[in-house]
Amino acid sequence: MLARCAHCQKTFETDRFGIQACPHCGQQVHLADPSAPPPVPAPPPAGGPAAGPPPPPPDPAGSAAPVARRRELGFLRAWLDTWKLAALSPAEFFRAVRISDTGSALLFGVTTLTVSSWFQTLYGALMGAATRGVVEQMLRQVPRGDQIGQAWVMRWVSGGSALAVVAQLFGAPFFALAVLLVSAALFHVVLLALRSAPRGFAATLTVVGYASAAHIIGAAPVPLLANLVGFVWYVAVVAIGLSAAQRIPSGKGWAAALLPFGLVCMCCCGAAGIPLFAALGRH
Amino acid sequence: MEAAVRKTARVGVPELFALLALASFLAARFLPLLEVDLPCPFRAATGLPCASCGMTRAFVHLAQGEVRPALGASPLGAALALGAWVYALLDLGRVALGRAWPPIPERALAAAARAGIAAALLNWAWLLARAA
Repeated sequence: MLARCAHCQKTFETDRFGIQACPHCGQQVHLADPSAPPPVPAPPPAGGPAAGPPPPPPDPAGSAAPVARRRELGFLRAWLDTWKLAALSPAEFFRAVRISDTGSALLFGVTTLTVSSWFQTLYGALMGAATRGVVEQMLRQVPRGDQIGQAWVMRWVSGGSALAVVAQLFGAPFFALAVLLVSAALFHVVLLALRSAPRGFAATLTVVGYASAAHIIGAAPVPLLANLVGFVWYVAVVAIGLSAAQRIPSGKGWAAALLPFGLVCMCCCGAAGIPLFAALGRH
Repeated sequence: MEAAVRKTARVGVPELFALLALASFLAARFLPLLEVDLPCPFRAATGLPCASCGMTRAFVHLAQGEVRPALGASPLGAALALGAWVYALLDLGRVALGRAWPPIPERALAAAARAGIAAALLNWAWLLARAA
C-alpha cells in the first residue's frame, strides 16, 4: 500500500501498519490499521522503568509544508518538494497543510511568481520580434484583434526597452506579493459571501500562496499559451485547495475560484483567452 | 493558540495589506499612470467596459483630491480607494499604538462580502448603461 509521511509529505510503499521509519526522512510514522479494534485505554503508569512515554498526538494544526522546513531541507529541495505536493496532489496537501504559517506560503508564492516573471521578461527581451510576429498572426483572426495588437499585449510579449526590462526584473517580487494578496482577498470575499470560510483568511492565503506552483509553467518559452495553461492549472489547484483547506464542498471551492475572474478579472481572462481561441480557430 | 498569536502579533498580513494600500496611494499620486497606454482588452474586443474599467482613473483622481472625476470614472473604484487608504491609516496607527483589531463577527463579514459583490455588479451595470 501507499503511505504518506506526515513529516516530509513524501509517499512510500509499505506492506504493514503501525510505527515505522520513513525511508525518505527517517522520521517515525504511525500508520493506523483501519480494520483494527479501537484502542483500549492504557492503565495508569506504574512508574516502572518499562513504561515508555506515550506516542505524540497528531498535530491538530496540520503538518508543516516542506518549504516551512527550508532551513532543515535546504531551500531548493524544500521548494521542489512543496511544488510537487501543491501542484500534483493538491487535495491531500491542502487538507493536511498547516494554515497558521502564512509567511511560508507567501514566500513560496512570491518565489514562484518571480521566477516565472523573470523568465517571461527575459524571453520577451531575447525573442521579442519572433514572438510579436506569432501573436500578431493570432490576433488577425479575432474581431478587433488589430486594436488589441496595438495595445499592451504586444509590448508585453515582445519585451520593452532595456530600462523597462530592468524595472520588470526588480519589480517582479513586489508585484508578485501584491498579486497574491489581492487575489487571496478576492477569493475570500466570495467564500465569505457563500458562508464557506470556516478556517478564516489564513487558509485562503495559504492556498493562494502554494497554488502559485502552477504558474511556474509560465516560465516555459511558449508565448501566451504557457501562461494560459498555467492559469487554468492555477484555477483548478485553487478550487481544489480551497475546498480541502476550508473543509467545504468542492462545488463551493470551484465557485470561489471562478467567480472573481468572472466579476473582476475579465480583462485578464480576455487578454489570455482571445489569442488562444484565435489560434484554436485556425485549426 | 492560533487566536492568541493573531491577537499578539503586531505586524503580519493586515500590515502587508496596509502597505499595499499605501503603495497604491503613492503610485496614484506621484506616478503618471494615466499616461501609460493600457487599453482594456475586453473593451477593445467588445466595445463595452469590463467590471473593473475606470478603477485606475478613479484611484488617480481621488489621490489628486478630485472627487467628482473619481466618482465619474468608477464609483466603486473611488469607494475602494478611499476604503483602502483609510484602512492603511487605521492599521498603521494600530501598529504604532500596539493595539489589536477588534474581533468582527462572521455574520458581519459575510454581509459585507455580499454587499461588496452587489456593489461590483451595480458598478458594472452603471458603466454599461453609461457606455450605451
